[in-house]
Amino acid sequence: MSIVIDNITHIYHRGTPLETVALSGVSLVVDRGEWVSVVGHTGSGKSTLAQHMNALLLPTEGHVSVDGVGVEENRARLREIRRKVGLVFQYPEQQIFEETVFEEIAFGPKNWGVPGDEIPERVTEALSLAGLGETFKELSPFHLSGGEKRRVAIASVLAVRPDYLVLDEPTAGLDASGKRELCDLLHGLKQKGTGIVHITHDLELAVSVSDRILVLTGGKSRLWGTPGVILEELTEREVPGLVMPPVPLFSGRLRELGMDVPVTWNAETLVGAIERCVGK
Amino acid sequence: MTEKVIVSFENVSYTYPGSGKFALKGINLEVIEGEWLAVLGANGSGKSTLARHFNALLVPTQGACLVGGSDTRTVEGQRFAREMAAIVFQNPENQIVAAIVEEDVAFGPENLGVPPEEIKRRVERALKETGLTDLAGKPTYALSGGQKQRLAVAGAIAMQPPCLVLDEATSMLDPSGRQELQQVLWRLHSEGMTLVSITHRMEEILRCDRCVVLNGGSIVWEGSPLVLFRDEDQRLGQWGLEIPPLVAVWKGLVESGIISGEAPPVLEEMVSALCP
Ligand SMILES: Nc1ncnc2c1ncn2[C@@H]1O[C@H](COP(=O)(O)OP(=O)(O)O)[C@@H](O)[C@H]1O
Ligand SMILES: Nc1ncnc2c1ncn2[C@@H]1O[C@H](COP(=O)(O)OP(=O)(O)O)[C@@H](O)[C@H]1O
Ligand SMILES: [Mg+2]
Ligand SMILES: [Mg+2]
Repeated sequence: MSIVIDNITHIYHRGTPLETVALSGVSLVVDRGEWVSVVGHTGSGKSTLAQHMNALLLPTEGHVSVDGVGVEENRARLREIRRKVGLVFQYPEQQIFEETVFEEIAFGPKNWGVPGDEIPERVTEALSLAGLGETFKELSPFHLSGGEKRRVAIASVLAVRPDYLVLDEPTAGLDASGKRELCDLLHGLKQKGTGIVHITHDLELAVSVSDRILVLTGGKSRLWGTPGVILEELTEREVPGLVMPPVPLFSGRLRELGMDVPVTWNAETLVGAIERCVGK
Repeated sequence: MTEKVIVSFENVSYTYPGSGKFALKGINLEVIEGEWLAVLGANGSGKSTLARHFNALLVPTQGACLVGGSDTRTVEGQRFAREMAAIVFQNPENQIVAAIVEEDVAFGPENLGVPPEEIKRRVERALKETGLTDLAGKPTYALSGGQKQRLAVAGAIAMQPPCLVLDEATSMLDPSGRQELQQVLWRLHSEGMTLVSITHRMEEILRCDRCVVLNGGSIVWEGSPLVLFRDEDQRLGQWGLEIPPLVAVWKGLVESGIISGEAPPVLEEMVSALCP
């Protein structure tokens, strides 16, 4: 059971002056119960890729399938694919429109034809998964904090009980504690068997939470592997378009200047190594 | 040299209509001409509410906000406030007014009555600094979130305001976009522009002169960022703030006496402190 993206290309506005090749030859596999992060600079094609995972966009070339159902040859089954793969857009709280949290979360399941008497149960379940108490049900979503609104938006996707959750930059704009809480929430879902696709430009965060990482630059797949593999690759050679986080960059600069420190992403390790070098 | 106060908050409290709770409470703050002030705080601490007072989009429920010495509840004060401060808000969607990128950047200076050849020069420079030159002729609707955010910044700097206020203006940028914007701000600051960076990301205040921390609508700390980064009282976590990894390295090296802690925790300065 997995989402398989096989060698896809996506061209926007093909054959017009606005033609843009957003993805070219990109492949990846996301299993249920696995956390995959997609990292890349602005314009690298991350959001375009995300929208292929639930067939909101179809590839210009290549192939996408969800649990063995291919999107192109099974257009009649697109609805099933969209139910299986929940997509949380960037800044989802901007698309909240119902008067109460209950109505907002109930919207998805209603839309997918879940019987009316099952809806309250779905809403309660989704609220609890998103780490929001029952008391939120009757509140107006507009009076919640930014972090709470984002959870409501995520809960409204979870209420459909997707098998995969694709989130486009879900931590953007959240402060340190909001970010940590959201990652804990996603980790819990993953352990219950949901496949997580986490789109981000935060390489440091991706390395600390993911099972596997895809690095995109300029619409092309540059690296694909476990965080360990990605770290090793990045340490050995630069990836064009990808900015190294400051700690490994700093340790690399010190090495170039002759200081005997390892290239590391860990602040404590680096401080310890510098202390040894200067004899403290 | 006497310091000129350009914006002054005098015991300002603000309650949103119907909310019944203070979004800002008892704020006393002076912004000095030419300084780079940082306002830090977690989500919900009152940062955006404070930002909206700079150009009189909001006026205090209690206390007073003075811009150029004039109260923002008066007509004159509101006019001063709008001329004094350009604000780049969190959500760029609401700030784009024109259909084409370069027209959007020109909109602000046009409204200020800047002569056409000067507008052209300012637009070119603002586009270049925000990395949008290649997109000058593009329709604004086709931009990504990060590109829209760059455009909002370009529009603000083309107005050459005495004071530029950035309210989480980099939330949609990737790491290289953030670094580029920091460079632009550093240059504007060195040219004398007053800057107010409002953010929950400590990476963005490394080079600022002074910072205040908001928590629950009140200022709970004020001082030098270099002191804040050392976090000797371990209060950052309590305020919902987090030390970025490179600042953690800087802090470790300061604590073990390897570097002095007088230079900011930016990479180049740290390299030259260690390998002179
Ligand atoms: N709806 C669209 N129409 C035309 N071009 C687009 C559209 N959406 C994205 N693009 C272009 O496709 C490329 C990839 O964009 P996107 O997938 O949004 O990247 P990311 O999410 O990594 O920032 C960019 O060059 C962008 O300008
Ligand atoms: N338009 C509004 N109506 C009612 N309450 C608001 C509004 N905007 C913000 N608030 C409340 O005011 C407080 C401060 O919010 P804000 O200034 O947006 O904080 P920050 O920008 O630091 O995240 C929060 O409790 C928030 O819920
Ligand atoms: Mg995107
Ligand atoms: Mg805000």
